[in-house]
Amino acid sequence: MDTLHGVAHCSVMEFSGGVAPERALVSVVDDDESVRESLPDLLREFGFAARAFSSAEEFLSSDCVGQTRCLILDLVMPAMNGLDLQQELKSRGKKIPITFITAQKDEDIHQQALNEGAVDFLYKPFSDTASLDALNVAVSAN
Amino acid sequence: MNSTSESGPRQIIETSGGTHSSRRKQSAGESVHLRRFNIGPRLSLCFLVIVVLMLAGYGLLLWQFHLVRIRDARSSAVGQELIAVSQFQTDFFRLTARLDELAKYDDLEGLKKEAQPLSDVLQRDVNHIRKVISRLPPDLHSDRTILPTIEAIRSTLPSQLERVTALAEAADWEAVRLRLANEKKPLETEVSALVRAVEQQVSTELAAQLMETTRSQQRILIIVPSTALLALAVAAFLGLVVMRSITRPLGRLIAGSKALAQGDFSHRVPMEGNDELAMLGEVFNDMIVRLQGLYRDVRRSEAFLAEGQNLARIGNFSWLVATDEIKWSEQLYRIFEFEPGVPVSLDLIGSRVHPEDLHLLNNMVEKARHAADKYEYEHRLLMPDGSIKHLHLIAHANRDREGRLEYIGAVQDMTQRRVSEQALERARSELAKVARVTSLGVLTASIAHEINQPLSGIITNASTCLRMLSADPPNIDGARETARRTIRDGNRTADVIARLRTLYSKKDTQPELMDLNEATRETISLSVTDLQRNRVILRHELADDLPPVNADRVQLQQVILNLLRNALDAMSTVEDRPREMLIRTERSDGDRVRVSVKDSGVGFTTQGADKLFEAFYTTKNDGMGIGLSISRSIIEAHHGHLWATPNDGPGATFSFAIPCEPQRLADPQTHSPTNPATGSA
Repeated sequence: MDTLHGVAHCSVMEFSGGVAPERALVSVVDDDESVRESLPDLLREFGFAARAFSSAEEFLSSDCVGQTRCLILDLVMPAMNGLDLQQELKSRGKKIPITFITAQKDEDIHQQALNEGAVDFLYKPFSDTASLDALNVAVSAN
Repeated sequence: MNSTSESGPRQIIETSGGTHSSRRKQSAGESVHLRRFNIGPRLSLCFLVIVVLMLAGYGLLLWQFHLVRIRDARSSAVGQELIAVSQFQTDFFRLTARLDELAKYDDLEGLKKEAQPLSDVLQRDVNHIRKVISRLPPDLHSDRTILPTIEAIRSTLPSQLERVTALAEAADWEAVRLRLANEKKPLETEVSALVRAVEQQVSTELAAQLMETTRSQQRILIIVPSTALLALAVAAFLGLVVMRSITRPLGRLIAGSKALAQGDFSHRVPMEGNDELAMLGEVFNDMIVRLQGLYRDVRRSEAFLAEGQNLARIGNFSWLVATDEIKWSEQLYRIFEFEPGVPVSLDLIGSRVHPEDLHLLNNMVEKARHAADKYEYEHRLLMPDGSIKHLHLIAHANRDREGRLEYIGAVQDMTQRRVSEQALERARSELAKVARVTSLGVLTASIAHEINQPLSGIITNASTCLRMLSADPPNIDGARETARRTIRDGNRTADVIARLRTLYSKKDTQPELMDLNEATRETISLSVTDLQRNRVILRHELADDLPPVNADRVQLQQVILNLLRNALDAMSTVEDRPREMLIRTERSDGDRVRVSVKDSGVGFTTQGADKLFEAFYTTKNDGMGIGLSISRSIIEAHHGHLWATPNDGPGATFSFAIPCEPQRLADPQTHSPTNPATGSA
């Protein structure tokens, strides 16, 4: 597992589809490569703009933080994990709705995340409809 | 604890445990002064006092004698005086009488012839008197008239005689007679008076002398007996005192020695003074204290020994071969379960020895008959209740004081240790099995997790594919891509399952030529989720030129997995620094391959270092701690070794190295960690 460092330059205008109306930006933060591969495509099929980051730090250092309408966030990551990122965004005053995704079934953490203001909690593997519902909720809440 | 004496004012110091209070009965006075001297001077002083007293008595006596002698001398002097004067008187009267007579007969011839000699006689007498008087003590010269009178007589006499003679020659006999008569009377009176005076003196002196003598007699009668009595009394007293001053302390010393002989170490000999006996007492007390200490030490040593024997279940024995006299320590009685004190014989011993081991007993007796230097046996006892004890016996030969052969030995009851060893072996094999099962459990969780990842990718990709194909127009390229990813993830899942099957289906060691890097990567992937969950940043540096090794893949992966999990656990409490793990493979020492797992966890201390690899040792409160010991066994079975070193910074690095030359792997049955350990009991 190598850490990826890429400079994420945020641009709302996605090349896929080239749709003129503005798409809401959904950021995916997960250190799992398969998720970063598959999820953004699905999100684009949903009609969102999607960007993937391999770590919380990468996301924070990008300029997509302000424009993200929803954050799909993995819980378990090396260095800063999902909950830490949630706290960090809160302390920065960024009110970004978060949907957690994780393979780990831990009720306490689930509850803690929800208490901290997460929109939803999805367990991998999740169906596409589940993720779509969560996203809609998140985006409309914003 | 000893009585001490000081050079200055003496002090009696009460001793502890002293039962003798007779010391109090002594009057403080006499002992004080006497005790300052040693015995020699003390006795000498005694004698000196007696001698001085006697000399004083003699002195008094002599004095009395001296007084009497003086008196005597005086009397005799006065007596002499009297005699001389009387003689004078006699001679004078003779002279006058003779002259009268001569005159009566008108004897001129006779007169001339006798007058002078008679006068000479008188002269002589006067000289004599003068001499005697000169010898008188001064105080008797009281009567000064004597000498002058005599002198007068003496001086006039010759002239008188001349005149008388002249008259006689003139034949004037009447005148002669007349003259004689006239001269005679006053002279006679004077002479008589003189004599009387001297007689008076004499009688005075005699009376005085008598009185003096009587007095002296009385004094002597008093002095002698009283001096004798005094001397006797003092001698007796001093003798008694001095004797007591010696016999009392001696008595106390004797009492002390007796007490000591009877084992009373608390007794002390009280002594005062600083003479030889006091020193002896002090030395004696010192000796008692020393003995008491020694005795206490000996008792304590005995008690320790007995305790030690008890704890270690070791008993001692001695066996005098010639008489078959056997002595046992208490612990040995307990081991054999006989009443302590029961006389021990070879038959008694044989009654307890396990029937199958009796031949060893006979063997021992044989050896003893041949005066073997030493012997050692392990045998069993069969107790009355049927239980079996394992004994280990060692003895060596000794010669007692009379030169007879004697064996001194020790017997240890090893039953518990044997039993424990067997239990331990069973437990180890059980736990080795359990360890696999447990790690299996943990692995299962991470495996499930592992499979979830690609599965979730499959579902997402498939969903995306469907949507892409349903779009208007359908996104064929996108769909193709998602389908590809789906297949890939499906294969990945199948891989994981296949790997796990191989990992846990194998029972026996199957050495194969394998790539350690690949095995490491597989193991890492199995643990990835665990590492993620614990926020561990894992780096790996796998050498490119790593040669293949001939090893059991499953076992080595187990070892790497164990090291990974240990590193993980070591960092589970770390909060103040990043949790970093580094897995490295490399060539080492030319013909070996090394794998190391470095963590930034809590590390270990040098004391912990030795225990890390012990079976059952663990610092985790939910772990079983056998992983490292088994891992080491696996690596050692591959002719390698496993070790741990603390890092320069926080944490530790666990490494193992195995040779990469193809070697015949040791048979798992004899080298697996579940077999009983060889080695001395």
